[in-house]
Parts: sequence; structure tokens; C-alpha cells
Amino acid sequence: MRSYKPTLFRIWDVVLIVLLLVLVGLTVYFALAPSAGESAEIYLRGEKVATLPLHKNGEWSNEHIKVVVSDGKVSVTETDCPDKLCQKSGAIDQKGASIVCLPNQVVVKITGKGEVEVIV
Amino acid sequence: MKSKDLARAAILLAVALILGFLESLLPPIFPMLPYARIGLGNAAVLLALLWLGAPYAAVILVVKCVVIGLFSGAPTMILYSLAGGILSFGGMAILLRIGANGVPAISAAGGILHNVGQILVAMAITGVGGIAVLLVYLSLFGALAGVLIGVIVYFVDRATSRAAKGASE
Repeated sequence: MRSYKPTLFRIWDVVLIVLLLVLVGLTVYFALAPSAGESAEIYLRGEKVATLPLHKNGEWSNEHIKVVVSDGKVSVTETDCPDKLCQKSGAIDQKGASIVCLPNQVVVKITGKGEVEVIV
Repeated sequence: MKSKDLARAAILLAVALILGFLESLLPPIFPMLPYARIGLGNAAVLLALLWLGAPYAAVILVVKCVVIGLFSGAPTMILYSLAGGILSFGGMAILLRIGANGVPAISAAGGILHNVGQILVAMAITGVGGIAVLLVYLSLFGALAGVLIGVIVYFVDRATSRAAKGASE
């Protein structure tokens, strides 16, 4: 009636376990792959002053700093601060990434769907 | 033959429920990984798969998940245990059909798939991909627990089929 004969170990077990470990590795890899965000939030002295969607070009500026969205990435293109660290940060588009300009007290943060706090 | 299968299925379901309840009373093995459980009840599901085939075993699995979820006071866990259970069950059923593997390895595959299913549900519910890191630890643990269950099932099966032979001769 039953075709399967139970055994403790067969040589195919090695293949099976290796395949499964690869499966787990791939799952973890894809789950952790960084994903692009949806919009850039700009904070001035801790207060949110603007939200720029990443899918279209746009910009925000004040007398000290200029933030530009182009080709789905956001970057600081002009600033009058001395070290220009924010400008050197380049263009960002990954969820959770940020550019900080301390002298001008400006923070640019990428947000996106699925950015939920983990409640354990 | 049918009523005999039914009686066996009922016994296996009872065993699955009792083992599941007992396990839910025990403290977690690793305090930092409260969801890492040996899953003793799965021994009964695997035995049902061996002896009675996939349909009976599937019913036992679903009833076990729902009843234990309801009675242990954590109904939301039903979703997790069902997702893990169904994925694990499907994998084990296919591997048994192929028939190229030993029982402990099939059970280990079930243990790993169980954790994969649970983590996928957790990711879908919370939307946090980072949970997948847990899978590294959970799947290793699941594999070890699966091997343990598989060895138990192998010896239970051997003992009972000898007893059955002795009784029928």
C-alpha cells in the first residue's frame, strides 16, 4: 500500500539540506536588499518643512541651501556652509538614507512605504 | 479499512494536540528567540503523512494549528502557525512522494520551511524586511529540531510496524 520506505539517512539528504540552505540564503538576501524610497522629507531645525516625491523632479531651497530631486535621487546642490559635507554626500535614493547639513540645521531623509517601527 | 484509518487519524490528532499543548506550557528554549520551538506536535503530523497519506495529515495539521492557537490564548498565532505549517507540510508531502530522502532530512526540510513561512507572514504583516535576519538562526534551529523529530518518527514507525506485523501474523 505504501511506497515510501522510511530510512534514517539517504545520500540525497545532503543535496536536500544544501538546497534548503541556499533557499534560506536567497530569501534573506532578497528581503534585506535595499529598496528605493518614495519621497524625501526635509527638516529645518527639527521641523518638517517640505516633502518632495522622488518620482518627479523638484527642489526646495532657502537662503543657505538648495535640495534638488532629479532622476529619482535627491542631493544637496548648493550650500553656503564652510565644509560642504552635505554636498559631498552625493545623491541618495535608498529608504532610510539621509543627508545632514549641521551648519544650516537641515536634514534630508528618504522615507517610503513599509518603513514601520518594529514592535517586539 | 476506512474506519481503521479514521481511528488512527483521531489518535494522531489527539497526540498532536497534547504534544502541542505541553510544548506551549514550557518556557522558550532560547529567551531571545521566543518563537523557536521544537514543534513536537509535528511528529504526529509527519506520522500521519507516513501512515495515512496527505489528506488525513492535512486535516490534522489544520485542526492542530487552529485549536492550539485558540486554546493557548494567542489567536493571532494561528496565522503564523498555519502559514508555517502549510509550507512545511507541502514540502514534506512532496519529498515523501519523491521518496529519495530519509525521514530526518524530510523532517528537517519541514522545520526549515516552517520558519520560512512564519517569517514571510511576519514580513507581510509588519512590512519590515529586516526580520528576515532572524531566519538565519531560526532555520538552523528548525533544521536541528526537524532532525530530532524525524529520528523520533523513524523509530516510532519502526516499532509500530513491527508490532503491527506481530499482531497480524
